[in-house]
Amino acid sequence: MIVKQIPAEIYTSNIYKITIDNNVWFVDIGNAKPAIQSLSIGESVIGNFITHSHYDHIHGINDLSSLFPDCKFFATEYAKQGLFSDKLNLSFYHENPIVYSGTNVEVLEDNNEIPLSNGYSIKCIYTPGHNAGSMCFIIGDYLFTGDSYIPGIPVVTKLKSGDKIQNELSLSRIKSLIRPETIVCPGHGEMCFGESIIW
Amino acid sequence: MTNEEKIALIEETLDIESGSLSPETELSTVAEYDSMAKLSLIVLCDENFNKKLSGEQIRAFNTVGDILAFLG
Repeated sequence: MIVKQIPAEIYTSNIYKITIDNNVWFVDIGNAKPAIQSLSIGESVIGNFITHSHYDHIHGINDLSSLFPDCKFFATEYAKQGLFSDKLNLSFYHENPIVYSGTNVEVLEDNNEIPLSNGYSIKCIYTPGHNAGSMCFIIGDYLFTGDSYIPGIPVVTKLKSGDKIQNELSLSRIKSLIRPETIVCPGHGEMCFGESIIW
Repeated sequence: MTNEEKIALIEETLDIESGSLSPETELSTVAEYDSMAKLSLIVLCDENFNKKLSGEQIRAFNTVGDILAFLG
C-alpha cells in the first residue's frame, strides 16, 4: 500500500491517494485535476472517502465521477446531504456552486470497516465538531483526519453544524488513536508522525 | 428582530462570548472575525435574513453597527 499526499491546488486542502496494486482510493477530492494527474497507467479509481463535505474537500467530485463512473463515494449521512446541497457544502457562497450529479454514494457509520484490496481495509471513526458529517479514517498506521484535527491549528467550529462540545469529545477520541508511529494525514497542512505532535 | 437580538446572533455566529459586542465595536479589534467567521456571517445573512452578502460588502464593514445596518 502506498499513500501519497496531493495538494488540491485550488484551495489549501489535501487529497490523499491510496494505492494498493493498481487500485486507487482517494481521501477527499478538493480538485480532480492533480488527483487524476497522479494516476499511473493501469491504475483505476475505485472509491473516494469523504472526511466531510465542505466545498474545499469535494470540489472535484463531478470531474472524478465523470472520468470514473463506477467510482463510489463514501460519506456519513450528513456529509452525503452536503454532496447534494451547495448551501450545506458552502459552495453556494463561493464562485462555483458544487452539487454532486451522480448517485454512487455509500453511507458510512461510526466503526464501519470497509474492505479495500489485498487484505487492507479502512476503518471509519465518526468525529463531529468541525462539521456534523465529519469522519476520520484509519488504514494501518495512517490516520486521515480531515478538518477534525490539524496539528497545531485550532479546530474551526463556527461554520454551519460545527459544535464545540462535540469537537472536544472527538479530539479526545482522535488523540487516543494517535501512537508515536501513527502517520497523521490532515485535511490541510503537512503529514506528520504522532511522535512529533505537541498537544 | 431587535438590534440586541441581532448582536446576539452575530456573537453566536462568530463564536464570541455573549455581551462582548456593541454597535460601536470595531471589527478590526475582534480577533475572532477571521475568514471563517466572515463565511459564517454570509451564511447567517442568507439563512436568517434572506440577504446575499458579497465579499465587497463584507470588506466595507468597519463596525458591528455596519453589519446591523446591512441586516436592516
